Amino acid sequence: MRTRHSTNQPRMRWTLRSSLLLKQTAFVAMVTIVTGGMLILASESFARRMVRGEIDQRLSLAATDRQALLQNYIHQQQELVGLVASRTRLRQLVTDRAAGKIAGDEFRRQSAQILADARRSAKDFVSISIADPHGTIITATDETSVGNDYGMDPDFVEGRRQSTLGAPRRTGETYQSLLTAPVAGNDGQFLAVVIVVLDVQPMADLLAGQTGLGESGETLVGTLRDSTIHLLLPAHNAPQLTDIPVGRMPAMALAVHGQSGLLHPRDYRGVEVLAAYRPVGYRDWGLVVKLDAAEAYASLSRFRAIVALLEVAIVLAGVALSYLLARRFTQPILHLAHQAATIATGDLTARTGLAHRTDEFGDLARAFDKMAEQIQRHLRRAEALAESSHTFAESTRDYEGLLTRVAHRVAEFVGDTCVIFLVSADGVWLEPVALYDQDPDAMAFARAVLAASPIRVADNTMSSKVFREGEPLLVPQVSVASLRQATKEEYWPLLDRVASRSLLMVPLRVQGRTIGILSLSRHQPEAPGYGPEDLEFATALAERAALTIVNARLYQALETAKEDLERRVVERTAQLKAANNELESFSYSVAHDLRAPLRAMDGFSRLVVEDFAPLLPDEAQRYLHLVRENAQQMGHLIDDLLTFARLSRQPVNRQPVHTADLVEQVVKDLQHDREGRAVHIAINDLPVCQADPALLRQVFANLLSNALKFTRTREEARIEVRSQTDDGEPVYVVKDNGVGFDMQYMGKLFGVFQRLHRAEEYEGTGVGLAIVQRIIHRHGGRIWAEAAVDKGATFYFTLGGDSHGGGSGRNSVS
Amino acid sequence: MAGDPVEILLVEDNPSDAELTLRALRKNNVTNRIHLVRDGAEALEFIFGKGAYNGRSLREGPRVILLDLKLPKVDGLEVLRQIKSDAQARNVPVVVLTSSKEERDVVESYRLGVNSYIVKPVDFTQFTEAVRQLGLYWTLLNQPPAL
Repeated sequence: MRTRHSTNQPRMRWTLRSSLLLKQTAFVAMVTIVTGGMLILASESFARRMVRGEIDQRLSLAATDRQALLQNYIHQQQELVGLVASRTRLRQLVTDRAAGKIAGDEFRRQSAQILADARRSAKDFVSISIADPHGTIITATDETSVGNDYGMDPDFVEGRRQSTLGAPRRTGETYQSLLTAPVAGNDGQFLAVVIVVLDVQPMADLLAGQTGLGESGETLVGTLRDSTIHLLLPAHNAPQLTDIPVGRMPAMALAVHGQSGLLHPRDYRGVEVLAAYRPVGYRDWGLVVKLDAAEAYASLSRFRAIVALLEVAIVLAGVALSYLLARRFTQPILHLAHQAATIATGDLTARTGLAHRTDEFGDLARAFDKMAEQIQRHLRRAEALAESSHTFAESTRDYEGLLTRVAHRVAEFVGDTCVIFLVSADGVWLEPVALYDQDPDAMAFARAVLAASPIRVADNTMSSKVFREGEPLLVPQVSVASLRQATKEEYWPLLDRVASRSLLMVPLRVQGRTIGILSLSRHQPEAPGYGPEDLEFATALAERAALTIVNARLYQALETAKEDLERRVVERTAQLKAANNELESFSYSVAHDLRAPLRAMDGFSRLVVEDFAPLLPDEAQRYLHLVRENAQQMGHLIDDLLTFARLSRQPVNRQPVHTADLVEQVVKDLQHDREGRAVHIAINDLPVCQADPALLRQVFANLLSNALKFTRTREEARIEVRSQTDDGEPVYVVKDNGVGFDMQYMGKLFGVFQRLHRAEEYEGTGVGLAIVQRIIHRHGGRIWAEAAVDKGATFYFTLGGDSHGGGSGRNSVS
Repeated sequence: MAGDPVEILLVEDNPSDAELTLRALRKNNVTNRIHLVRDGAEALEFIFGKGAYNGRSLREGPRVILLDLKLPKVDGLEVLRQIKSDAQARNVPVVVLTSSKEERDVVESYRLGVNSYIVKPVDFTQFTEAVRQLGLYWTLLNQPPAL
């Protein structure tokens, strides 16, 4: 039991854990991970959309802003160059030069002054020149440039028609643009072109302003030149880059075609970017504001990291919570399992300890506890019954003690007060013979009341009724008032005092006879009333008690009888011993002393005859002969009596006897008795038997010598010794054809000194058959005879129970 | 007690039996010197040379002892016991000659080392026959062991 306990329990714990705790935890973890993952995906996609929308908006704003800035700048520069070209003095000078009204030198001197003025008014103007309609510089702030030809420069060509800002071009470290505008004469005809070399670095700086576009933000301005995007201003991330294939700048390609929008392409570096594109609104220039996707979504990846962390935290928390929750579930289950295992090992006192819970576990635990309690109660009752049987059985020798014990036990097991009533010997009274209650006061009081008010069998009390009808009585709930009605008035004080809540009376029955009743009552206020279970239990107890009480009574009677018997046996034995001793010393002295005088009588009679025969008359000699004969007869009598007496003392020493051999030996010994006679003795097959050989020999010797004696008058004596089987028992038969006897004297046949014939006819002491009968009886056998006067006699005898177990008989019984 | 050595010691309290025994012995030609004592105590005194027989030696006999069992003072079995527990006396053959056929007497006598056990029958003829056998027995013992 122990070993099973120790191997079972951990395994059960493990199984429970693996099946419930792990499963639930794993399940919750899985659910958390899946939902969390889906949430992350959803939230990321949502966040991404949000971020992109925001970035796109920012890019659009930036693009619009840059576009406005650029347009504004261009417009401003155009206006500035227009102002220079429209200076009246300059126009006059140019008009004069065209009209030849002024000398070349003068013209150059005066115009240079004006141009220098103009340059000073605009800080970004590096130099200002004026070209004639063919493109040759005619005057400049930088005299060295006079004579240079711009005739083929597109900016000059455009400048002939209107104010134009040319595409910036790289000049050493800086970007410069040609700013051109036509100069009209006083009458409006076209005379010359102002060419300003403009430092566009401020514009580049302006565009490159990072405001709101992060580290990788970049503003590109480009134009399409021979299927190649030409960057007008240096790219922030690659200042040296100027020409890029159209395919690698799809946003710019769209912008230079006058479209605006948002695009998420890869840029010239092959890096994923978010871009907003716009036409600059000046010539075919395009504007692209872009931001590396990595940077744009940097916040998103942070968000993702946070979400991931959150997910991990949720999963962990979920697992932990679910583990705790599962433990909360499995713990009571484990506890229940543990308690179940404990109960299974036989400890029925174990309880779940969870009955206080209000949840389903509480229900389960209560059901479980109830079950355990039920089992425990049943077991306790079974044990109690077994123990009671044992206790009762042990008390069989102590009748008074037994009754007390029964009352005690029953009160203890069924509670609270137990009274045993037994019917009196005359059948009139129900006598309270034992009483028990845990409460000594209640017991003393009950005893007093019971003593004061005996119950008759014929009374109309509940006890009497139960006794008379032999049926139990169960009153689950009693009010004292109703009890009073059904009870003798003398009992009322007791009833009031103990205030019985419940009553139970069971008849004490043995073999259909009611010997009394077992009366039980509960008076403790907290105890529940008796139920059918108590009735059943009390009945079972009563059965055992009744049986034991009857047994004890029998035992008591037996004890008394036994004591009496023992005393008598002792007395008789002493008497017998004394008698035996007397007889023994009597026989002893008979053996020694009684024969001596006979011997003297016989001897001296003989001596008289021998020594004085010639002096004695014949009559005297005959008297002496009679004296001797009588003395000898007396000697035989003494011998036979001693033999007979010895038979009752000697133990019978049974052993296998070859009966046939024994009989033949006896016949041989009797040779002397049949000398001169015609005697036919037939010895048929005789079985081997179990007997005392010396005694059996005496039996056959006596019977055969009788047979010889009583066939003396027959011409031919026929004697037969045989055996037969009656009811499986071997019977030995000695039959003769002698004088027989009258069966009416059969009763005297085997008596000592009983003779059926006159002594002068057949000598003998009258002890022979008595000896035979005694020997047969000492063997446990029987002897009887059949005879008729002059028709012979037949003697039958057996040798008792196991006399014929001798093995191989010559005439074994079939 | 000086004189010829005693050859037969007859221990018998019953005078009739004693006389019948002596006669039977005589009748059977056993005429050896026979000494009769009437009780067990006297028998022991005679055998061990004490009391009335003070100074008597076993060398003076007897050669055989005929012993009745039922004797006054010291009974026959006790006499037998003392004879058979004495280193010298034990060599003297003892024949129990008694009326008793009681088995316990027979068994006890043989246990004590009796040389022969003869039951005295009531019938004098048989008695004489028994004594005759005794005489025969004694004759066979004519060559006693050297003392």
